[in-house]
Amino acid sequence: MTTADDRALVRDVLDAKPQAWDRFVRRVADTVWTACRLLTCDDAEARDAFADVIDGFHVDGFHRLRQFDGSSRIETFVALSARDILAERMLRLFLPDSGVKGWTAFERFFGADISRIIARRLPGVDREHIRQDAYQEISVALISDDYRRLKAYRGIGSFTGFILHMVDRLLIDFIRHTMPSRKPTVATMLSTKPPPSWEEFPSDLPSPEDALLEQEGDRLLSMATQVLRQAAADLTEAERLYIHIALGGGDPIPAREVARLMRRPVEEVYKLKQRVMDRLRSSLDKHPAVKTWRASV
Amino acid sequence: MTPAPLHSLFERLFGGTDGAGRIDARHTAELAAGMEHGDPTKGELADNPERSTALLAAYLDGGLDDAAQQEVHARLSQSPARVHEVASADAFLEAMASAGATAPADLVTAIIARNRPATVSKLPPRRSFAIWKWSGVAVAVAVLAVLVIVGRQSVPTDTAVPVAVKSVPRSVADQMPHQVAKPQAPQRSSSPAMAPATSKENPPGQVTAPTKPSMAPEGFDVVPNNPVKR
Repeated sequence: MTTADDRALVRDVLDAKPQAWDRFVRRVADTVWTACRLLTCDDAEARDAFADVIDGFHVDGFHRLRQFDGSSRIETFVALSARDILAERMLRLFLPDSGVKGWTAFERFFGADISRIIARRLPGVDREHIRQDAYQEISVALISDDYRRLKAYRGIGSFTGFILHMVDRLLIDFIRHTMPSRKPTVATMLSTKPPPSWEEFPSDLPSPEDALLEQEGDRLLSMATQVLRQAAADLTEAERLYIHIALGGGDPIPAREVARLMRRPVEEVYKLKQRVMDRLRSSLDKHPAVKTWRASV
Repeated sequence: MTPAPLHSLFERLFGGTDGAGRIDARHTAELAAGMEHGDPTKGELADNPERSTALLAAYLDGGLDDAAQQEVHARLSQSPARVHEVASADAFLEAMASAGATAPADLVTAIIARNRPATVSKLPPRRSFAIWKWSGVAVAVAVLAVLVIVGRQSVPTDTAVPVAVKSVPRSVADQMPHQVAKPQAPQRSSSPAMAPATSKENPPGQVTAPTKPSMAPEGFDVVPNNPVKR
């Protein structure tokens, strides 16, 4: 079926044409079922979820369905709508006494996203242990105080966006306290070099030199943040979005991935990169601290 | 303070070519946190929150024109939460494409039966208006017809005056004696017909002839004034 056919089908459903609802359910059944299987724990729950999703399209005079205008494929629209409905369904599980059931549902729903965010910020095969620790710490933070953080959602904005942003903030906190700039990484700890002698083992306390370097590192970061914020004010929306995407990863994000997220051609993303760098260089040169340094030499 | 370390940091963060070396995770984390202002979780992708999912689907399917896409970029650039949402939706659709499952037939049938609309749902305004308009016309015609009939049959208010008969029903047989067969008494059957015990039919042998032909029309003004001539 073409998008035009799907649009006509949805119109027929809204007009309560005979058999239109039956045809619609059959048309989207596989998409809804796939979404339910992905986002629920087992077959029995998926069947319940399937009924809830179809009900979700039916209630309030096909309220959700009315939003479909044919600017996307119906599969995409239905998959994302099913995800929204299942997210609302999952929220209902976080009632008092929901216990393990609520968390299991949550993890099934967001586990892949949490892992993806962690993997992006902490890339590399050598960081597998750190990623696992991060996952554990984030999970504990989300569960603590009877899911206080999850229950803080007040229905404003996307629930998925709310949760994933919270996960990212918890991850940033984790990185801050477990990965100070000068601390040896797991890579160095796991290297195949011969073990150091007792005298060579680093002390837990930072040396005066380390403390100075860390201080310098913090100052550098603070300066970079200022320059970035200043530059961002003059950037176009697309350029600012590029910066947001680039700051989501621990490795430079490949242009094709940025292009995919921005739904723009890769060639355009390369040009975007170039423009952003030019603007940042310019902002950096104008920054008071840099001007002061230039004047002093 | 020299600009070199910052140049280097920005170069690796934003200008780095694909496959360039690792960036300090803490640097990007701090910068990402530092770029936030306001409440990054508030706000929707669309002005009308109910349109957010449809808009997201259109964005991911490449179904938006340039202006609409720029609008989405603007909203994404203001909120890291929305960027996460888009990335998550994109990953979900990819997982959907590779998982592709077929819904159990029994489940689909049961759900269809359960949700089948019993009544006509709310109709779009234009159609609704049309229905009301034609309903009104139909009612007006019906009222007019009733008034005409009542006018022709008007009953005198003075009950002492006898009702004037405007027309007397006449049988078709009277009007067209050559075209209508005259009633005849049914022939007696040699074998009695079976009839149920509760049947109101006359028992065999007690058949009474109808008092008038069953084909004769009743009422007034139904007999044509000019019978068809052969």
